[in-house]
Amino acid sequence: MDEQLQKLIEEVCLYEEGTPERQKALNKLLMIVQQLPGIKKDGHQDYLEALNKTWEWVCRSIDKFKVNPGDSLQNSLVKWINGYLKWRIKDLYVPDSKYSTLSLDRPISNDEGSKVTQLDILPDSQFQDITLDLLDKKIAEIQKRSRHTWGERISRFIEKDQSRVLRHCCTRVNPECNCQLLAKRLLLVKPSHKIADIAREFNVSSQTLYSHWKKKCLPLLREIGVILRID
Amino acid sequence: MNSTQPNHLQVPLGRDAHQKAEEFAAEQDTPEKGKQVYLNTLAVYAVDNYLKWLNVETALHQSDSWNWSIRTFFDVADLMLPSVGRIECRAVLPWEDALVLPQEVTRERIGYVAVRLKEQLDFVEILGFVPARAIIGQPEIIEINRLQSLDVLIDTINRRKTLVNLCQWLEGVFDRGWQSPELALAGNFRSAATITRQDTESQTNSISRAKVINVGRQIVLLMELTPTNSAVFDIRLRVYPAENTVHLPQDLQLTIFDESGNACMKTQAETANDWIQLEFSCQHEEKFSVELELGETCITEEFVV
Repeated sequence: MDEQLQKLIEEVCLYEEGTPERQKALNKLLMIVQQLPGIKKDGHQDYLEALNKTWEWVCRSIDKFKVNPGDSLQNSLVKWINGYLKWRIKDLYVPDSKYSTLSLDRPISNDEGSKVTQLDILPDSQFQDITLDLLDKKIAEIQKRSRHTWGERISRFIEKDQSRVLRHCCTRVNPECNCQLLAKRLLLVKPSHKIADIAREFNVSSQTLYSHWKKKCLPLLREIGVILRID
Repeated sequence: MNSTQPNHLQVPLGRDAHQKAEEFAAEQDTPEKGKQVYLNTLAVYAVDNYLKWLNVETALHQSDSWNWSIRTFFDVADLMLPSVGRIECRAVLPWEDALVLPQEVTRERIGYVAVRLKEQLDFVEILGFVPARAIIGQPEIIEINRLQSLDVLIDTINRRKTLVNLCQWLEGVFDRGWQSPELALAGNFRSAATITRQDTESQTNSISRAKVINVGRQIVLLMELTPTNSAVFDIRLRVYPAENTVHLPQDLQLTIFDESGNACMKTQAETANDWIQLEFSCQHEEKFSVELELGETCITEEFVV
């Protein structure tokens, strides 16, 4: 392993920062280094951010890494990485840092005016425990909480098209193939229709339809989206 | 280390990633759309981080996936790389063995990065990359086993960064490796004068430059650029043999791809061809790439008019 690591580190250091050769060598090195046993772990909710910073630092600083006398390269490397990671984790626990954790017993008021502690309102699952399984539930909750149901407004806007701006944006060959119809079929309906099927239905070439959709409708919809968002 | 074990880069998904994903998902109408946006955001976030490690410049805020009005309507997970283009970062769920691309992302992408999510959404694995041109014809599904290594991603990014700017040629600024045809064809049996003379009569305002390219054998790519009265440029590409050989290697292929990676034109050397050529026109600021392929070797040059 030491030999392999040595070779990969030398390869990285051979090339300047930002060159494709260095980037490829870093890829190979990271794939192995990330799997090395002994990389420090921590239960803090921001540990993964600290780890992320550490990998970025490793990529920048690997040129400065030196093997500890009397130690193997692998051990030295893990210690070197942990040396940096340890400080990033320490940062997380420093009060006043952006990562500082609030005391769980700190009393806070909830909407109903009764006193509860931070601990009471902590979600059942910490973010590390968010799993794909729980994601649907979590998203349904945050959407309910959120008032930003802008997409719904846009759907309504497309359906209504009060100013007829979408219906006016039509192909030259067939006015029925307009932005409103395409937006309904391609965006609002699930599963969305295929452009080729719509083309057949209205006797228009799919190429024409595709380029109308891409060049006229999408920019228009984007513009409208932005306007509604600003409203 | 067991070398048969598939090894992938891991990117941690910190709380910042989940906060962003939550913010974007909250804007959506349905849990299904919210989940799609959540996972897309995580995938883009992870690739953005990974590219930062490698010191590749990224621009999240120029990405469609970071633009409310676009992500709400489209299933997009793009990441903009300035002066390179967009890469699409597709989330692959633990039980999936292919990427399914919605039609809105099959255009305007330089390629696709597959990002494997785990049941615990704490780390992702970057599985690999497919350049857009590799999936032409079957753009909807990319099986995991068709993915190429991240080296291909790195090459694609760097090639796009070093694209040859043909407009600058008009001002006499030429990119490295592009020399006057006389120089590049100095070793050719035909004198360079014969090669370029046939064009000079009709097209006096054209600019020709040539580059020696190694596709296993040395060949010379000659690019002739002719400005027209409008914003259109006529382009003629010719390939000649170098190294004092008379004929081009048989089966040498010359292909032109448009910006989205669609093959527009193609020609192939047959037995005893002295040269092959393709002619086409390009708008101002249009990008295209030229691919030369011989056997296993494939060389691409990127251009912008």
